[in-house]
This record gives sequence, structure tokens and C-alpha cells, in this order.
Amino acid sequence: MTAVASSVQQDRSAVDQQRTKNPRLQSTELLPTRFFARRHAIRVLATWGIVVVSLSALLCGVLIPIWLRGQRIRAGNSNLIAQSQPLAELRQKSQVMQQENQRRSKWASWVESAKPDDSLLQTLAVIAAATQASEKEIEIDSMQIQLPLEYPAPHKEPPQWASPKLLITAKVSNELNARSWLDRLNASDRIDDATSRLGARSWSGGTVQVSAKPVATRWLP
Amino acid sequence: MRKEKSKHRMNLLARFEPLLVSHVRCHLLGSVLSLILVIGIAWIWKNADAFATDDRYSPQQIEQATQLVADAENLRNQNADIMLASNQIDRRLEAIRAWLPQSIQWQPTRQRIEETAEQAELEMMFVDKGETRTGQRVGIQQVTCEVQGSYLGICQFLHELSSDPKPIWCDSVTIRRVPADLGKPVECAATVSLRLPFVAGNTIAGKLMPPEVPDAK
Repeated sequence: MTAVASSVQQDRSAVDQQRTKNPRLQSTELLPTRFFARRHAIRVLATWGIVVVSLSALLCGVLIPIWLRGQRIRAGNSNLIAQSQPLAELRQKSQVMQQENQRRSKWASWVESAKPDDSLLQTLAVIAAATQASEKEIEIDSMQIQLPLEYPAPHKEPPQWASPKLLITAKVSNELNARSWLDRLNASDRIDDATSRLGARSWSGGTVQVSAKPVATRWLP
Repeated sequence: MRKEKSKHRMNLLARFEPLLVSHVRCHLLGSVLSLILVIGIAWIWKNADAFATDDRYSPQQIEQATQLVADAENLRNQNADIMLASNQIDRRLEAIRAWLPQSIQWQPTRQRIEETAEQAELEMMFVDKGETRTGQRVGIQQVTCEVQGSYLGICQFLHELSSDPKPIWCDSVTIRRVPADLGKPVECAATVSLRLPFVAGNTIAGKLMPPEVPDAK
């Protein structure tokens, strides 16, 4: 330490000697303190300038990648939206078409249900089959079949003209045959609620009146 | 040249003259600027996501678009299925058109009923055109006729009417036994109520299959 201190002391004395010899160096001591303050300030300003420029460069270094990332995201989004546009239209079209299909399918089913069939003939066939077992004991005089018809919505119950009706007038040899005939008619899927006027009072001359409700496969328009 | 450079430097310094009075001012200015920049950098770094966003579309739009693109194959398959279903319905409508006429022409209909009765060896007593009704599903032309002949013939007549390519509903029948001569088979008289369906304007059939408007040429 002492060696370093003595070396510094020697340097200072050398500088002092130079100052005394060199008139220009001697003259700086005459400059005002403002000059030295200004020189120091310039150095400080330059240092801070470097710091500020460095920080500005850092700011740009941070901002540019972020901006580039933003650009990439925007380009990606534009591409995504452009790709999704026709798909959205396709989905919209599919939804509309599906609704249209549902509506058309329902309406087509309703119209198909109005297609004529042989319900009445089936009822005749059932009566014929039920009668055939006692062909000799039962002789049908008349037969009226009316199938259920479609009626306007305000009616809660079907009006008379739309109600199903089956009336058979037949000559039956005895009551037992008549009852078994009625049972056979009732056993059929095509005829409901078959009843007959077979009471002691109405049973006259072997004539039986059977009333029932024929069943149609479809609701007649 | 050197003079110019020196002059330029002097001009530059002249701008900072108020600062050059003291180095404290320079420290103050430099540190404030640096602090602002550091805060700015930190803030931008922290809120980088906010800067790198696309304000043209909402996140929901982007999410929906992503979902759509991801489901593209499903969407195309669904659309193909829907088109297939639509074609099937078109075929059903074609089948309906085959049996459901747009209107009823009375003379050909009458002729057809009479011919059917004749084929079933029935005697046609009368054929009357009844009311035209508009139901919910189709329009209906009512017809009443009376035939006379064998029970088998009546059944055949009803069968032919219902199994025709343009079938006819028989909604009501009244069959009576008529006295026959000795040795002849039992004869029956049948009053038959028929309903001929057609496409009427205010019905579901009318909405489903509107009449084709001829080109106005």
C-alpha cells in the first residue's frame, strides 16, 4: 500500500512540475468552474444518452416480435374466417334443409295416410268369415257399413256423419248361434263393440240386429 | 469540413444548453427517461397478449370458426345425409303424385267406375256426382252409385276400386238382399259411397305439391 501511495505522490508532483513549465496548462486553472461543470454534464448526458438509446433499442426489440406475432395472428384469423365462411353457409343451408325435410316428411306422411285402402272390404271379409262357421243358421238380409271419417277440428267428438257404424240385420236360427256369431265378430280386430238386440222382448222371429263400430286402417279423408 | 462538424456539434449541444448547467439535471433527465422506458418495456412485456390480438373478430367468432373448421368433415357428411333424406322425400312425393291427381275429371271417372262394375259383372243402376269437399289432408270428390249383382261381384268391385293405380276410398256401403228367381244365385243391391282424393289448394297436399304453373310464353 505504501508503495502505491508513494507512486501516486510522485505522479502528482510530476504533473505539478509540468504545469509550472507549460504555460497552457497553467492557464486552465484560470477557467471558471462552470466550464468544468459543463464538461462533466456533457459526459453525464452522453452516458445517459447511451442508456436511453439502449433501452429504446430494447423497447423496439420487445415491440417488434409482439407486432409480428400480432400480424401472424391476424393473418391466421383471416385465413380461419375465410375457411369457415363456406362451412357456416353449408351449416346454415343444412339446418334450413333439415327443417324443410322434417316439414315435408310430416306432410308427406299425412298425405300418404289419405291414400285409399281396402278397409271396408276387410270389414266385409271379417263378417263373411264370422258368418261362414254357421252358414246355414245365419242368413244376412242387409248390411250397412260406414267407416270413420275425418271431421273438422272444432268438433271434440266425431259428428254423426263421421262416426263409424255397422248395422247387420240377419235371420238366426236360435239365440245360441246368434251369441256365438256375435262373439266371433267381437274377436275380430276390424270390429269393435259388437252388440245385438237379443233380449227376450226384441228377439222375435229369429231376426237379429247387430250394431258395431268398424275399424279402418286409416282415417278416411 | 472539420469546422462544419464542430459547428454542428455546437448546435447540438446548444439544444441541451439548459441541461448543461449542472450534471444533476442530466442525471435527473436521464434517469426519468430510463425509468419511463423500463416501465414501458415491462408493461409491454407483461401485456404482450393484449398487443398481439385481432380486434376485428371477437374470441367467440374465432372459437366458432375453429369449431366449424374442425367439424368440416362432419358437416359435409351431415349435409350429404340431409340431401339423401331430401331425395327420399322427393321420391315419396313422386309416389304420391302417382295416385293423387291434381283434379278430378268427372266423365273419365264415371266411365272408370262403370267399367269396373262391368268387369265385376255388376249392373250399374246409377252413378251420381256428389259434393266436393276440402279436407285437412286432401280434397275429396264424393260419388254415390248403386250396383246390383252377386255378393262376390260387389266385393270384387270394391277390391278393384281400392287397388287401382289411382285408388278410390269406399267409405260406406249398404248391401241388401234382393229377391231372386228360383234356381238363380242370391242377388244383392249395394249402395256405395265413394270418395276420390285429389290435390286441393288449401289442403296439406296442396301445400306439399302445389299445381305446376304453365310457362307464360
